[in-house]
Amino acid sequence: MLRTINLKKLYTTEEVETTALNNVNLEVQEGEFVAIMGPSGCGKSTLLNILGLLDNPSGGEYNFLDYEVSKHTERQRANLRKSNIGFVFQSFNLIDELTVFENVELPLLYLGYSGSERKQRVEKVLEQMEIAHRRNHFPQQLSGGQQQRVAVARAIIAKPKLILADEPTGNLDSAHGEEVMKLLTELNENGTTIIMVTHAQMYAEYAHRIVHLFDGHIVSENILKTQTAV
Amino acid sequence: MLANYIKIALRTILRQFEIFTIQFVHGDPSNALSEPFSVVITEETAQRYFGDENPIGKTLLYDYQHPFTITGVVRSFPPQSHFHFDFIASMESTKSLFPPVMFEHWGNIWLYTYVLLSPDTEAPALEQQFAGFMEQHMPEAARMINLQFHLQPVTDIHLRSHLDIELEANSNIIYIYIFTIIAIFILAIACFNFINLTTARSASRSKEIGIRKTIGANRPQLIRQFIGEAIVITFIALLLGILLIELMLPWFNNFTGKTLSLSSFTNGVALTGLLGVVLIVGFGAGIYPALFLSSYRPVEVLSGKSSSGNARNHALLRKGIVTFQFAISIALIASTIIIYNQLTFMRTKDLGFDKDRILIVKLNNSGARQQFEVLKESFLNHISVLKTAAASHVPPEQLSSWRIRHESEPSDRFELINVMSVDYDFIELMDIDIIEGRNLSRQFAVDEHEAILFNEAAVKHFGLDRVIGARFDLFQGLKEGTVVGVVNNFHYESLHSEIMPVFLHIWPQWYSQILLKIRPENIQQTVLDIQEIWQAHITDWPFEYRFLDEDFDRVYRSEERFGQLVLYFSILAIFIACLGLFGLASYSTQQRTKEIGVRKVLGASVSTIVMLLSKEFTKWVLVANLIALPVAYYVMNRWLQNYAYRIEIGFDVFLFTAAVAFIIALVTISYQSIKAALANPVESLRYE
Ligand SMILES: Nc1ncnc2c1ncn2[C@@H]1O[C@H](COP(=O)(O)OP(=O)(O)O)[C@@H](O)[C@H]1O
Ligand SMILES: [Mg+2]
Repeated sequence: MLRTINLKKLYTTEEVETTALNNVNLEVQEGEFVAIMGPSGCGKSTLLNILGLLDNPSGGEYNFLDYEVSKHTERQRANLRKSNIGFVFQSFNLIDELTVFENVELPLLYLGYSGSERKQRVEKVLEQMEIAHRRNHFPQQLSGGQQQRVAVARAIIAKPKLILADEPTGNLDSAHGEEVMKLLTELNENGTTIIMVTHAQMYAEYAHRIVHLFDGHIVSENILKTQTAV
Repeated sequence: MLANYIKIALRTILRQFEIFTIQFVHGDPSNALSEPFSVVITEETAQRYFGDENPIGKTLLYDYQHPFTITGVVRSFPPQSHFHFDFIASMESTKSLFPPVMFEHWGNIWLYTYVLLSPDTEAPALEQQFAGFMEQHMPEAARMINLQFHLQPVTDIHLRSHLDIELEANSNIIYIYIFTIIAIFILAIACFNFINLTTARSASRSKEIGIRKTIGANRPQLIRQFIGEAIVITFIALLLGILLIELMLPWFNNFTGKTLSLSSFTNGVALTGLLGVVLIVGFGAGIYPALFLSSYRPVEVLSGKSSSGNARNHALLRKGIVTFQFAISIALIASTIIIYNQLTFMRTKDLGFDKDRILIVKLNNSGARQQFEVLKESFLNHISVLKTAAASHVPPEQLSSWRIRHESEPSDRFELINVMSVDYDFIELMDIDIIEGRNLSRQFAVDEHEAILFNEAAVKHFGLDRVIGARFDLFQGLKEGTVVGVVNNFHYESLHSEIMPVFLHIWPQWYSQILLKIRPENIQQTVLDIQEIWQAHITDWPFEYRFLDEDFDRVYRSEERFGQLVLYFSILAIFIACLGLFGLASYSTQQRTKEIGVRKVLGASVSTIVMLLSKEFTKWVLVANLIALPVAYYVMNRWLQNYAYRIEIGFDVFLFTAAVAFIIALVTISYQSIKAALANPVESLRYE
């Protein structure tokens, strides 16, 4: 599904130059569930942003769905991203001014779906995530677990091939954390590729494979289980 | 004697110096004008004629023939007087200069009468007695003239009097009101910016406030501090403002033709007033931010829970303020457009005659008046002169009026009708249409003595079945008139005034100017040649000329200045309002950084984001339009009532204004919204 070759990312600010990623070589197969672990500041989010086509690498190659995307323009990346990648963030990143329904609807809006189709699909996903009864609530009125389910609903609404989750359980208590992991596992079992950053080994163990990142490069990998056939 | 000719302005004939405070430099105020043919002149006039010599006892000739002895030299009236003079001649002199009818007939209202009331006299009470007074003094025969006397305070004349034949062109109080309102609005816009920016910036001061409160400052102390700051800022603004006035005054005076100076502010009243404005503005602009800032609770502020909830409550106020600011700007834009439309309308309206390329040569002395036909002939011989004519008045000059009476009416039923004395060539030169009957013509011997032309308004006024051939008594037996033709309603005055009835007739005594229709090429050379021809005939009077179209343009100069000033004020108001909008846009996009980031991650394009951010402001500008446009319509419609001939305020003006406002608003916020939309979402979501 995706493969990086000697991926590099430099951040240059006025004072310092930070090497956030250094020669990262990573390959992820379709249907895989990969967890990324590592200390704070080792480049996990940077890697996820590049894999998610939110940012361009400073060097190296990145093949995504057979496209060489490291030189893509912002617009090209955005088009590829819209229909193929869903995001789940630690802090949920729901828009406070929009209702649950409207938050989940957003990606479909940007993909140009008709109103009736949007409604139908959002309702279905909200049922699936068991938050349909909250559809007219605003994010602030929900618990953290509920908010993250809304975020997951939003991430999968456009049926992406790949879901990137950056510490999705970071702001949740363990019960809600479990719940989100179950959701992700379920999605993975239905064929969605998942790459997830996490600090907790107990959550990383839901994945097929754990990649350890340190100081911008991959130091080791654990294979936990083989991928179930899709 | 009369070495150099300089225009004699024998405009004001006063007997006494008791009513007007006139300062004598030479001569004795008590008897300066008691003798006939004595004249008092201003210092400037004395300088012009006699240089540094003392002019007392010297003589000036009025119109070739009448010597006036100079009995006094006085200071000119200051610029703000409602009239000005170069000469004041004694009232006694007029008895020899004017025919008796000027003094005997009650309808001859050629004097401006000033009365000095004793301090305990009420003007309205005195006015009430005028009717009885007239009854007592007016002979029976004069009663039907329908004269009424009114009093008006001298200080009201310049701004509030709109009578015909004023001593000098007056202004209108409505301009003072309009500019006062505009000034208040601009000040309000600036105050609102202050309020907006101070509260928006409050986050950065919240820490200071928290600390102050923790160490014991109470709310009233903080409120006083913030209002104090606002007043100090306003005071500094006042000083800068005075500096700006000093720098801009020469330009402004030049532009408006006034002689204002900063010294108008250095009296006690003005200074107290200015300080009062500083206090009011400082307090007005400071009170809301003061209440807002001092309401922070120190624990929340210092624990970093900050004011985002608080801020949301105040977002509505900010938007309301920007809406109001835009409303003012929109009203000003619409007004500017309407004023310019009216100006263009007045400049381009068909006047009923062709005003282009008409050179007017003034018959400024009796010598020239006597040989006007010779002058006409000689001018016409010039290759560039196509037509010549003579007339008593040339548009847009104020006409005289005569009392005229249809022969079927009783001898005391006359009407006051405007009159133009013209020669046979006038109608053709001016290209005025004859719509009934015929033009004045040399082919009819009677024309010289009795033919008159009516305009359509006169025809309507008299309502005769057959107007051609109708006979009138002119000027009470001075002359008989027979209507030979009707001309279209041409605009013999500016478009301020409605076209009133007028009659035209042959009356050479009154011709005061020669009109020349000239070729469009080489106009400058033509004027020089005409001057030479003049000098060949008239050796001792200067050649005075002007162009008819320029005269017409000049009538609208005050409107033009008004339009320009409103334009400048609109630009200023828009600029300040845009600063406010810019501030609000940067504040609001900053608030929405995260949202924008999320939307981009989810696939929103740059244009979608820009649209999203613009949509909100568009809504407020729309509201501003809805507030401003009816107000502009109302005020401008009132202004247009000053003009007998005016434009209809069309819907297109408002559409255009709304479009301009939207474009200005969008451009103003585009910097912020495009910047926000282009920002890398990774950045905005990074600090989770
Ligand atoms: N936009 C940026 N500008 C400068 N430095 C950055 C930027 N984003 C990340 N970094 C730096 O890159 C390194 C990796 O950051 P990040 O990928 O966020 O780490 P992690 O997610 O593993 O905590 C850090 O040292 C961080 O300070
Ligand atoms: Mg991170």
